[in-house]
Amino acid sequence: MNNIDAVQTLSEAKRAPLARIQDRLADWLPKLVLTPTLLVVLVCMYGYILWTGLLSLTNSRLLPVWNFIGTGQYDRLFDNDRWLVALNNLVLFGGLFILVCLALGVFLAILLDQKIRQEGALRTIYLYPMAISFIVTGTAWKWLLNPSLGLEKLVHSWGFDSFSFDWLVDPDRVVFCLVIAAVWQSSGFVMAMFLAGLRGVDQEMVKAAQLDGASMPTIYRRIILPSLKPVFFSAFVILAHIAIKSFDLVAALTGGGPGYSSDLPANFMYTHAFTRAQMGLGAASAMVMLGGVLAILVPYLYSELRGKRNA
Amino acid sequence: MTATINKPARFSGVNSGAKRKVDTQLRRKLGISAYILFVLVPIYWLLNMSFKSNEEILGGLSLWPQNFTLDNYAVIFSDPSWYMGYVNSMTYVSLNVIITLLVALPAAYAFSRYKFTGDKHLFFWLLTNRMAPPAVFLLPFFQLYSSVGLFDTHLAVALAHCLFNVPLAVWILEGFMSGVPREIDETAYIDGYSFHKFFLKIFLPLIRSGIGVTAFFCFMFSWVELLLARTLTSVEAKPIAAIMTRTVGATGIDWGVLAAAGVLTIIPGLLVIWFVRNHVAKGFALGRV
Repeated sequence: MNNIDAVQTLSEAKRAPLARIQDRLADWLPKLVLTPTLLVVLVCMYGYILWTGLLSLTNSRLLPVWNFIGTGQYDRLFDNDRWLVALNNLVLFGGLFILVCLALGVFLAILLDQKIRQEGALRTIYLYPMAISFIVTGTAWKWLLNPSLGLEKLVHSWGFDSFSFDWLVDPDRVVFCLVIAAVWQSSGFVMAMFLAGLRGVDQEMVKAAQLDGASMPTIYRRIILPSLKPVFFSAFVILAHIAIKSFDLVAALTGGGPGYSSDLPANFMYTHAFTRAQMGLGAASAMVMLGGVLAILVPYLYSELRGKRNA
Repeated sequence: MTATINKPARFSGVNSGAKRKVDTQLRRKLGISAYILFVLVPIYWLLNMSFKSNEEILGGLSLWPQNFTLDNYAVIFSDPSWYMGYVNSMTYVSLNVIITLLVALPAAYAFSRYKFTGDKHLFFWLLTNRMAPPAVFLLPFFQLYSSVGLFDTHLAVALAHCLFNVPLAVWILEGFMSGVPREIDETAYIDGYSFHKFFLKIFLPLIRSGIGVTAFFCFMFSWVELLLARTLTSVEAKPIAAIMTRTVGATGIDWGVLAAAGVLTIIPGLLVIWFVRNHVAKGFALGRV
């Protein structure tokens, strides 16, 4: 007995440090695996942001010069009429784009969620625009919206000569053309998000409401849509992000014109930093864009983290 | 999604009689058809233009080509400045997908299998990085690549896109990996599999639809991204999208060729979507993507 006990304790004593090493290894291994990835992201993301931030405080033009002039570039930026037009466009474009996409997405998801036939095929068709680059979207829509080539001409050839649809060349309306093309591209994706959300709605609750005699519109308004709130929220964040970084659509659809009436901040940044040799000004506009993203992201992060703590 | 779940639609029929049911169904079909029309018209328009000559495009408007021609496609396949655009785009997109998967697979495994302090926050932080506007990274990338001689190479664009794709890939893969029960890992160890053998022979096949979805999203992002790709290349690695915008600025617009180029850029996306269409639904169901 004693002997066996002794052997056991001995082997346990031997194993203990080994087990501890293994435990420690298990604790360290994930960190070891993750370190390179995180380090690269950390250095690239934050290092680059810092770099751009520093550049925006210098008077660099064609090449970076580390000659700090304080917030001069930001003052110039907000005196720049073109930048103000771009910001204005972003607010108008972003607001309309997000609103229409959300409304259309919910509507289509509800239509598709009714056990209709060929749902799979429809879902695939709706996703297709997502696989098309904004350049192609812009090119295709440029035709449709071009007064002398597209819809206007088609309707004229049908005999309605008074029909006019020249938003693409109207400086006040050209932003709406961007909205149409962007909605075309993104609403299918939003629909897919809402469809997944609808599938997660508690069916028991819907049944209970139906037994209580609630009509379908009421059920949708009172039960289903409120339970989709998180989907609304993440769709909003994704769409806002798309709106802020939109560059290709403007480049292909309008080229920023007529004049600079349809510029968005990303186009402003590209033009000034790379073709007009105003690197400092471009960096400053990039930093303002980052600020815009943060203004949207921080509330999202906050609610997400708070939600985790409650759960 | 199974038959046991009663969709609200069934009940609306019970409540409101047959006539109204037909009515709502008609309206539903109308709504869906209208949207399909909205989705398909621009694509049809593009396809239609690509088979017309420039004179026909500018001359009059027709719903289908009067003189069907493949000249526009012939121009693209015979002119190196056009078809090299496709080769360049394909090269950096493939490079990017491979690098992203190689980096993201171990990271996602670590997030899904090990608990460590701050893992949830770290995971979320990684994802939020993706939201930064690419414009912020343009100048540093441009200067860095110019100084190390990476400028205007396929690798340069692939690496720049990785910065955005790796967090996304880790996020999607982690969802799929967490769906694989941990017991499988343990059983494999007991059966004497070494880690790398287990990972390659058992684990990867189990999450292959996840890998497919991840590859799809990386492909899509990289294929359609223009700002970084255009800034970081000039001649050798210029992507097709940048070539398309360049043509717009030059002597008038060669509509027919531009349409043909557009049609050709859609095709890879269509193929990829077709292959992963069922997996994508799975990804949406997991709340990822």
